[in-house]
Amino acid sequence: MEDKQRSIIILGLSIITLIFSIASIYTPWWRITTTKEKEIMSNGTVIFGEYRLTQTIYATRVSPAENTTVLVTVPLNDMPAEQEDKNAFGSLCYITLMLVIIASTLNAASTSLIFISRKQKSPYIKFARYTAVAASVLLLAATIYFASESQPKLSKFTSVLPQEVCKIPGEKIGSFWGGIEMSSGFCEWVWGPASGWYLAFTAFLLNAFTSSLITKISPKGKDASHVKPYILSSPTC
Amino acid sequence: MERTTRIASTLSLIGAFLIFINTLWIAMNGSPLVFYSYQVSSVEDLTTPGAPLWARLTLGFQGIVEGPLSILWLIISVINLYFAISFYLRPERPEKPSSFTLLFSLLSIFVGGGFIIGFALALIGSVMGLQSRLPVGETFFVKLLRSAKLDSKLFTEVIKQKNVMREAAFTVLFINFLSGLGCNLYTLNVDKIIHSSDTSFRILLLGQISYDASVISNSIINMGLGILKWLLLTLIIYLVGTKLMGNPSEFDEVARAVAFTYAPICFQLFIPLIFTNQPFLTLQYPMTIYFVTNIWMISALIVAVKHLFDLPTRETIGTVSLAGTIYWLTVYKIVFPMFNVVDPTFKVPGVMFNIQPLSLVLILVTLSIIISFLCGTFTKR
Repeated sequence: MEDKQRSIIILGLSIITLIFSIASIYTPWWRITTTKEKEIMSNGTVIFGEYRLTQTIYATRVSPAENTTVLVTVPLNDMPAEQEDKNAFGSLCYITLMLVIIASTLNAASTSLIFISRKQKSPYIKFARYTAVAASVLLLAATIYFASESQPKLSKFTSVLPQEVCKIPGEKIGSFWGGIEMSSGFCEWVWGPASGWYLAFTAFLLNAFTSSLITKISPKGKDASHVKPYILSSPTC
Repeated sequence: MERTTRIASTLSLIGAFLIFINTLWIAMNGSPLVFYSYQVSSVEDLTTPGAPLWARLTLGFQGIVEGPLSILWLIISVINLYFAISFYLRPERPEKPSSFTLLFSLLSIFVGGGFIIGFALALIGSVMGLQSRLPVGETFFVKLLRSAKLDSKLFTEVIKQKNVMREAAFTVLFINFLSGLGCNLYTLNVDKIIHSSDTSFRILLLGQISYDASVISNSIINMGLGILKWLLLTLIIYLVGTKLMGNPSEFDEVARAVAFTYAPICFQLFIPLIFTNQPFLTLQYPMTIYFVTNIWMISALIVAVKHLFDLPTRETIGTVSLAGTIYWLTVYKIVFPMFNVVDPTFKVPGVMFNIQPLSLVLILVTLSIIISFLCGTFTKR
């Protein structure tokens, strides 16, 4: 396969990674929702809440039987919880957001370097590898940090959903992934990471593999190694 | 064979990408993807007389794709994508990436198999990658596709090639395993739906797929039965074609050609993907798949026998009709009932035709023999 085609594949992968890491900034990182079984049993009533890194909580309750829809967007500061607990969670969101923004910037740099190298056979391709590795490490740190720190902080909330929608005491949140079971054995509520967290985690994996695949783009040195012996052995020189 | 590796790497890459997208979607959804033709609030809504046609399709196995396990599946799908890209970038070294893509693609069945298409493409691509020294048309899955397309050249080739006997036997084993997996998974779920209202809610409305060790053990039994059925069908076609009609042919030639006609049967793997309500849990839907795949196989058999004995189409239909009738009577009215005589608790696994009463069976047999007679099967060449 030609070098140009190879770099197009890696560039494509790098662009996908960049899109994922940027999208993770704007998409929710944690959510709590009623389960499918609860939805069926309560004639289609769905309740869910989503936490974003921008310290905003989106909550929705849709009840087709009562023909009502409640959509609430609440800043973290207006959530039913002690100010100290809200600040702790806000700080977690802020640090995670910073890690993701820096990782996205590094991703953008990596993508640009791959793009430039494709056009001009630039020697900077090796820097693309380093930036991809750095972005990967930061994204992994962001996802692990959020996964390990969010549950202890959320469990201190009076309710993890705005009270206009539903009251779910924070103390019920016993782990990052989890659920509340009904007496019938079915789950009523489930919670866990949302799309933003998964996008960031996927971006970490893709970055790690992109950095490995960059080595498969033919290095400049390969061409140079052909030139040097030719000059030395040429009788015309 | 550059063309083989190029096609193999492209198929693997597209398949791995679809598997990755499917896995990511399931992870973000937090549960398997369940698609309904329309929403219902209870199982009773489906069983009421006059309820419109309802069907549900599930991608992913509930219980093993949610929660922290979703990370594991995501990692597997990205590693699969990595190997598929590596294969695409360096097609000259296909063995290692193809082996990994094959393994991870098989695992992807638990997470929806890249909307099924991804799994199929990655599987075909990776196996082609492992057989990259062969021309495209000679690779395993392309042979199966050619058989499903009723490609007459394929049957002419396998009749001549003595060294494909092992591949022919593997084809029968592989197809019967897939078919057994689909049929047994479906019958197990139907059984559970009938016997428990709680489970019927989980399977039909929540998209759960029940499975246990019996699905695998019955699929393995199906492989053994498949080989016996293949040898029996070969023997009957051989006897009708050579001894009755006087055509020159060898038993191994017939066996090789018959083995590849099984290709359409592998579509029975997809039976448990969909459950319907009309009529509620009767065997109409799986029997349709079963019937279509078997008619398809018979069509392939007609093409194979035509080239095997070099017969005109009319005589070929007569030969297949007579041999098929003897085969069906032997397997479903003599051999399988004998299993129950040996062990009354044993149930032959899977989905099958069972025509009742015996008088109707004999009328159909007579009709088939008359068709064979009219087609000239009993005329010695």
